[in-house]
Amino acid sequence: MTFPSATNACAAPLPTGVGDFRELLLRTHGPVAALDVRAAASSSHAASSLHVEATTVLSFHYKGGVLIAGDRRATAGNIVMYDRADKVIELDPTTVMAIAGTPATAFEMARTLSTSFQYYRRSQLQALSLSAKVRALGKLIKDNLPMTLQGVGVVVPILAARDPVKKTDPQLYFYDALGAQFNAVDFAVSGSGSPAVRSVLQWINRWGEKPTSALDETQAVQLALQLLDVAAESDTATGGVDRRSHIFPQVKLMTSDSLRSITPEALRESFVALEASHL
Amino acid sequence: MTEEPYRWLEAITNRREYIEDQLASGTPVVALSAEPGILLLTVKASTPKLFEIYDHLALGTLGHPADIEKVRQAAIDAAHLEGFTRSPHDVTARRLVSYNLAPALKNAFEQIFSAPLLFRGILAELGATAADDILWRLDYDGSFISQSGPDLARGLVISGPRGVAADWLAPVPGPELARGDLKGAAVSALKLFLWARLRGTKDQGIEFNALPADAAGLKEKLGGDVLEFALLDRALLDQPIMYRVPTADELGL
Repeated sequence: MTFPSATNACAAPLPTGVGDFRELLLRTHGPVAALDVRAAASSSHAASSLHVEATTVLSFHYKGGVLIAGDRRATAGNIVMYDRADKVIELDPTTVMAIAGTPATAFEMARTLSTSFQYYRRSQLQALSLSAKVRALGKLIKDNLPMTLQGVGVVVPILAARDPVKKTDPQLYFYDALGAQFNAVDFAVSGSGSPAVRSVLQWINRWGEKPTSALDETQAVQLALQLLDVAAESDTATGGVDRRSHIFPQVKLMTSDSLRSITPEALRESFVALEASHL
Repeated sequence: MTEEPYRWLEAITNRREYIEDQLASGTPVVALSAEPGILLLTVKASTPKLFEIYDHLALGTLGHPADIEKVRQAAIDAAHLEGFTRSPHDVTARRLVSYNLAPALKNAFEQIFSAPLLFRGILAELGATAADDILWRLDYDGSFISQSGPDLARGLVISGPRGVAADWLAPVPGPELARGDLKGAAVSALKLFLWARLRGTKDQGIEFNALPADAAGLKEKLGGDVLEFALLDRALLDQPIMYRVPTADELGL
């Protein structure tokens, strides 16, 4: 017996029973839809004009949990394509991904993961574990290797997540372009503006008055704005804080039991206060 | 044997009789659309019977756990594929029932040489307001009915004995159900559940209004059974997950 009927084009396939949404997608819609481009990629020339990327996303541990933030600019070469890109994406209530790299691939990865996590939870009647989520993103990056090697689809994200069941401290993970995952004990950054941010964070944690892990929420948000501002000074592909156009970065805070976004109004106030104190 | 039309009809009739006989002892499941959301209610068994299907979709079931699992999984697969390839707004209970579940159930029912699916269910879709909610009752043979608009005031029930659901909807106008707040809706849903359970078992002449009107009286009638309930919460409409299990305190039960 087949249920639902294999002859009904609209019908879903046989239940998988393992909760793997990508496997289901691969079976029903093929490798491209499932972001499995190992078989699909064949051309080896890089289409540099399509290379829309560059950004600054950053994250660090503060006293209450982790902060994860990103600027809003998307560029293609020296052209600013978009100034309101959302690069810090909530995959589910306990998982946030900040993307740096080719938006087409990165947004699709975020969508795939978000659907996969919900699909697993609903079909298996339990939430996907933190380690499985961390690995799922690594696997997507690994499967994207041909696009990475061609130079048209590289994605190097940061993941902030906590255990979906237990009240544990949130964790930060960063990845290399081949999909290896690393747990960041202090901070993780990515994107073309990240070298400047990395240097500042390293200086703060080694020589500063107090490390990022000792900052309270207000100080953490202020530091995130300062870091993105610094990144924008040295990297044309990073938008930073654009008060004139009212474009503020995305800043999200994850604690052991909550996830929330800082509103643009609160960010503006915070940034104005910072500027006033540095006249 | 099926080359003769009469034999095929006989086989289908036997199959229907067998399935109805198997389902007869099934515990009722009630769905009630109220202002705060859609409440699903039944009593707990060894396996769960109320499920989250998608952001705004929930399923209440009775039947064999393995068959329930097949239908539930098919609904989840179809909803997530549609939500991913198009958008979550394109996932509707109407399309899920009409183009996926009902044809598949009917097909399974008519495969007379294979084991039948022992399944009966309610698929609930949460709308922006209570008037936009839709409830679907779906049966093992692929037949279905939908309830929307003013009909939602009646609530929807499925029960082991097939006639109970029809008996509930037969009198016009039917008994009034409270739908304004969660506690009122919970009392109405529990009352409807108890009515359906008594109607299907030992007291076929039970009148809805003969049952107690308050939670304490109804819980007494429930005996030692523990309730299983779920809510598609309208307060979570802007969130990706609208399904949640409310506490007994929230429901006043």
